[in-house]
Amino acid sequence: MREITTDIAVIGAGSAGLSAAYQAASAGADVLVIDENHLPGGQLFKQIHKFFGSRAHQAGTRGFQIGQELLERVQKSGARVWLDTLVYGIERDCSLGVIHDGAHYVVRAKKVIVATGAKENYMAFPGSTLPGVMGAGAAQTMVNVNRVLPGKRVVMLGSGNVGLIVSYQLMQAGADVVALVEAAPEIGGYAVHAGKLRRAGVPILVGHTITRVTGDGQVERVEIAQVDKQFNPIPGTERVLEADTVCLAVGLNPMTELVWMAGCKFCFIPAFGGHVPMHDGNMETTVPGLYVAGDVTGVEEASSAMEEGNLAGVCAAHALGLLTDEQAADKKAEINARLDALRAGLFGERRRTAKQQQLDAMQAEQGGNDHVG
Amino acid sequence: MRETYDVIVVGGGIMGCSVAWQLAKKNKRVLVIERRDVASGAAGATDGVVGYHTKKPGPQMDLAVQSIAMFETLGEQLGQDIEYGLRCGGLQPVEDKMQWDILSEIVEKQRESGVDIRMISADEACALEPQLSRDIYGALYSPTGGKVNPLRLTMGYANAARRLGAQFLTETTVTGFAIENGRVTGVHTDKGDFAADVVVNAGGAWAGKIATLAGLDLPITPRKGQLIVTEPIGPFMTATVQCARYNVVKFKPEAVTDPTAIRLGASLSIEQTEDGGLIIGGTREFAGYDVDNTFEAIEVMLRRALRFFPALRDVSIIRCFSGLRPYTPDGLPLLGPVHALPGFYMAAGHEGDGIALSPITGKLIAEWIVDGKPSYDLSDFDPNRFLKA
Repeated sequence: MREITTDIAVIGAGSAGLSAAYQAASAGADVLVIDENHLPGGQLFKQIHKFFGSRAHQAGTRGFQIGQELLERVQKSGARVWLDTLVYGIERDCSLGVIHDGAHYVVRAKKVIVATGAKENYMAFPGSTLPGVMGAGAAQTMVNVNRVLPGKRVVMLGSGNVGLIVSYQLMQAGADVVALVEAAPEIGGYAVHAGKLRRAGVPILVGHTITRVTGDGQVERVEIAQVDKQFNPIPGTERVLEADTVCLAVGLNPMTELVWMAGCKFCFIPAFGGHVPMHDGNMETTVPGLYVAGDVTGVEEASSAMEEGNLAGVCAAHALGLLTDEQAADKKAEINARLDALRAGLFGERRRTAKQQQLDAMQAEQGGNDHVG
Repeated sequence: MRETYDVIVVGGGIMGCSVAWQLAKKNKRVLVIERRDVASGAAGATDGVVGYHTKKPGPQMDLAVQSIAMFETLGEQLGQDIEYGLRCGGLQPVEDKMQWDILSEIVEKQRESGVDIRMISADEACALEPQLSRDIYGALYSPTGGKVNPLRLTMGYANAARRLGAQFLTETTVTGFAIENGRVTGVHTDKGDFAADVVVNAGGAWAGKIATLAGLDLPITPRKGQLIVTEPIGPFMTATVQCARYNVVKFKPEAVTDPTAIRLGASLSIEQTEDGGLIIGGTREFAGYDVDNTFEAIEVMLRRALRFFPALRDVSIIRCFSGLRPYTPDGLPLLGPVHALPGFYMAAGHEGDGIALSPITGKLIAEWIVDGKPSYDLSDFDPNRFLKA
C-alpha cells in the first residue's frame, strides 16, 4: 500500500472533473485527477454534435472539440491525470482507495472533488436481456468512440435528447433506425434534433412502448404497442418491427456510490434522477472537504457540468488559501452568472427549481446558519 | 401498560433467535427485543463457517461437536433452506514448520473430543482443493466441518419462533431492567415496559453494555471482523479454508510476529457461498463499535487470499463489510444464570464461534430456563466466573 498526498484529488475526468482540475491547478493547487477509463473526457468525446446556448458556452462547437480544448488546458495547468485507475473506496477522512497500474494506493488529499457523472437507466420487459438490447449511451460509445456499429436495424426507446441525438448518429454511422418509440404523448427533446430524424424519414411513435423483444439468442423482433393515459399498453394495438438492436434512452441517474460511502447526506429530487448529495453554493457536501460537481449532483448536461466543475475547483482552491477572497468572489460570480443562464428559459426552469431545492435542503440541514450562493 | 411474558430475550441476533425458537418449542411465551432488526449485527455480517477445527480444545470443542451434529437436520426442523454444506470439510494450509508444530499440538488436543481432525501433506491438500497454491508446507484437514448461510439461519430461527407464537419487537432499545426484591421482573424500553420472569441477554457484542443496565460488569467487548465479497464465479472450492495463521492468531497469538497481522488480527478465512460468490475474511480488531472497512485490512486480507489462491487475482470484489464479534478474555462464551440477579441469563460472548454454536446454545439455555438445568454441563461457561461473589 503506497500513500500519495496531494492538495486536491478529482475523481472523474469528464466535463466537470476536468473543469475543476483546471481551475484548481491554475490557482496553484497540486491536483491529481483519477478516471477509470483509458481515455479522459467522459462523455464529451462521444459528442460529435454541436452544442447549443450562448457563445460563453461554446455554442456551435462540437462536444469532442470542447473536450480536446479542456484536456489541453488541464495538461498545461500542471494537474496530473491517472487513467485506467479505479477509486474503489473512500474512508471517513476522505482518503481514497485506488488501484493504479496494478498497485494499491491510498490517496490522501486536503480536498476531494467527486465528479463521477451519471449512468444510464435500464428498463425491463420480456426479452430485455437478449443480446442486442443496450443503453443508448453504450451504442453511442460504440459508434463514436470505438467506431463499431452495434447493429443494422435499430429501435430506439425514448425521445429525450439522448434518444434523438444517438438515433441520428447511428444513422450517420450507417444503421437504419426503424422507429423511435416514446411512451409520452409528446417528444421529450429539442425540436431541432427531432426535425433531423423526421426529415430523414424516421417514424417517431409517441404514445407507444416496447412490450416485448423476441429472437433466437439475439434481438430479431420488437413488439410495440400504443399506451393509454396511465402508460399501460392497449391490447390489440401491438405490432412487430424487424430489428437487431434495441437502444434504451430512458434517462440517467447520478453515480453516487462514493458519495454515499463517504457519509454525505442526500435529498431526493426526481428531476435530477433520484437521490442526490446535498451541497452548498460552493459545491461542498455535508462532509467537510468533500465537493461534488456535474451529473453526480443531479443529471443536467455537459455545459452546466463544466460550470459546476469550475465552481468546485475555484472553491476548493479558495478553501486552501490559494485564491484571495476577492479573486474567488469574482470567479464565482462569473461562473454563477453562466450557470443561471444555462438554467433559464423553457428547458432550464425545471433544473433551476431542482437545484434551488437541493441548495435549500443543504441550508436546512445546516440549520439555516450559512448563506447559500 | 405492561405486557407479561414468560421470557424476554434481549437481542435479535443468531443467539437471541435460537434461544427464542427453543423456548417457543417448549410452549413459553417469548418476546424478543431488538434495537435494530433481526440479524442486523454480527449474524448479518459474517461468513458461514461451521467448523470443528477452529474451536478451542476442551469444553468449547465438546460443545461444538454437539452443536454441529444438530446442523444435520436443522434446516428441516426450521422449515427453511439454510444452505447447509454438510461435510464440505475445513482445510487450513500451513506455511512452515513452526505453524505445523503449533497446529499439530492443537489438533492432538482437539481430537480428544472425538472429532476427525488431522494434519495432511501438501499434495493431499491440493488434491482436495485443486485451486490451492502448491507452495504450502502441509495442511490441517477436518473432513466433517460444514458451512451455512448465516442470514438464512438467523431468519430461519426467527421465523420458526414466530410460527410458534414468539413475538419480535424490532427498532426498540432496552433502557433498563425492572428489578424487584433482588430479581429481574421485566425490561424497560423506549417503546414501553414489559414484564417477564426471566430475561436472557443475547446481545452479542453489545451484551456487556446490556449487562451494565442490570448493574452487572461483564467483560464482553466488541471485536471487529472485516470481510470482502467477490462477484459470483463458477465452482471454485468446496471446503472452507482458513490459513493456519487463523488458528495461530486465535489460540497462540504470541507466536505471530508480523506487526500488521498482530494489530489487525489478520488471517485468511475463505469460503464459496451457494450463489458462487466468495466471502473472504478476516480480521480480529479492537476498534470499539466502529464498523468501517479500512484500506489496510482489505489489502492484507486480499494478499492472503492470493497467497493461497493465486487464480483469484482476476476476480472482482463487489462489496466489503464488517461485523462486531463478542470477545471474552478467556475465549469462552457466557452461558447460564447470573447468581447475583436471579432471573437474568446470559447467552453471549461466542466471538467468532456464534454461528456454529447457536443451535446448542439455544437448546441448552432453553432447557436451563424451563427444566431447571441443561442436559449438558455448562459449568465451564458459567458467567459468574467473571463476577465477584
